[in-house]
Amino acid sequence: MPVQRARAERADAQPEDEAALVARARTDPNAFALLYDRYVERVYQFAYRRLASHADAEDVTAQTFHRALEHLGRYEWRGLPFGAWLFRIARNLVVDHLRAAGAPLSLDEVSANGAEPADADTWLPEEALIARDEVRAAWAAVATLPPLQRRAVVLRFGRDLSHAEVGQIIGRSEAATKQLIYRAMLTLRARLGVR
Amino acid sequence: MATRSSTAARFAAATDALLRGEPLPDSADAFAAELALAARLRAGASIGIPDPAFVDDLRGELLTRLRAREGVARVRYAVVETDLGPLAVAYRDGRVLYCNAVTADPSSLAAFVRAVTRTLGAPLEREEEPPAVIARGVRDHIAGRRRFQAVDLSWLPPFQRRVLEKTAEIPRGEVRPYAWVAREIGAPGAVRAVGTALAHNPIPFIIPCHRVVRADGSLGEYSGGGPAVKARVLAYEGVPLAELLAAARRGERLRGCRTTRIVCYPACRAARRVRPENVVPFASLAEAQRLGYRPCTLCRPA
Repeated sequence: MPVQRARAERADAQPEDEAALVARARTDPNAFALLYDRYVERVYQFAYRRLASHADAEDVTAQTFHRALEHLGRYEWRGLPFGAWLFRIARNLVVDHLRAAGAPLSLDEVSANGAEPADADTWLPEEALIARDEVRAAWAAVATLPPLQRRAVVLRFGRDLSHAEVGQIIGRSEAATKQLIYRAMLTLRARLGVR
Repeated sequence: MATRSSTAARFAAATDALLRGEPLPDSADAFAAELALAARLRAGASIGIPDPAFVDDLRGELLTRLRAREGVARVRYAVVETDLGPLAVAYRDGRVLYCNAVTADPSSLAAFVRAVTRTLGAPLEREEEPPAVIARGVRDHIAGRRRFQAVDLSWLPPFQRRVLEKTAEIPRGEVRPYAWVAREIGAPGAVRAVGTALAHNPIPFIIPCHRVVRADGSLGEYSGGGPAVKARVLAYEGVPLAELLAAARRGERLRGCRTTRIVCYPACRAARRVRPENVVPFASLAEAQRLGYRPCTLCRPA
């Protein structure tokens, strides 16, 4: 059951110290950085799922964290996870984006705009989207690659770009990009035990 | 090697082996492993893997902002209806930072928001009702009723700021060459840099970069939508474009007045009052000065 699984994950993802971390983040960049690192990918995925565009997902993610930074003083710890608060901001921005694009809004998104989400946990099922453990493990391994290899792999397989296109973005030749991705794949195979 | 050619070769070798009923070559295992890994990664793509460069940049941006926390006022934006059409305006503390023409298509406003957010590194907040000072000020400015000066150029590089401040002095209904702006700001050699600074004018229409044209009388590029838009805006402001272009084609860069012995840009309001029979065309200021003409103090020809 995806929701139960998501709940279980939330327990590890939100350690007890989060309230203290949020309080500190108002003035302490390091604390804010920890929160950012903890949530940025999930906010991005939340936005990407609804907007189906990486450019829009980037916009919403950037705006969500900028807004969160701005309003951090208004966030109060009342057992409401910081993540739930963050996803509420993200959801409102997604609705703005969809509306700006003239897309018809689903009932879910409309109701989320004006009113509080009925259940503070409604953001959780996002977690369940990474359905298969091996897919999750593969991307987790990608996160441990050296920065340039990591970016090349994200663009190649996460964006489905050709070697030439990836090369253009990272400023390498097509041949050098192939080499880079090949080395990354060797590392990933070794780490994941895929032979 | 994971190149396409070798991938294809290994694929062909494996296919051949299978067709002939032979055991698969060793390379086929590695090939299969690679395909399996690529397939796993691709399967994850649908959840939205962020570009690590984006994640890092945003992180840096947020932390910079947090460190500079005090005194950060919010940037807001609104759409102001003007005689030239809807203008998206972003402002902070009552001063305009950014603006651009938008269309009825919502994506044009979204593009504006995206561009401003990227440049300023700050989130924008939509205001349905812009402050009256800004809405009326901008509208009156575009219509030529009153000059609007509540702009904030302080965040721009100094050279660009000087170019834009000088450009703001060009009167409505007139135009000046790029070289004029360069000379006026004390950088006569920087004509090209003036062009670049104007091409990146964050406040088009309000800072009238459309009033800066080429010395040969042609309009030059316009970042706000190409020469056609530039011509439309200038015509709206009452610039006699056809006449100016015709004069430029005849080789008339400057226009002297026989009776006053003053020489102007043809677009100068003083030059436009010269009677046709008194007009003396010049190709350069040097030529005019040789004949005893003095430069106009309104348009200060270069």
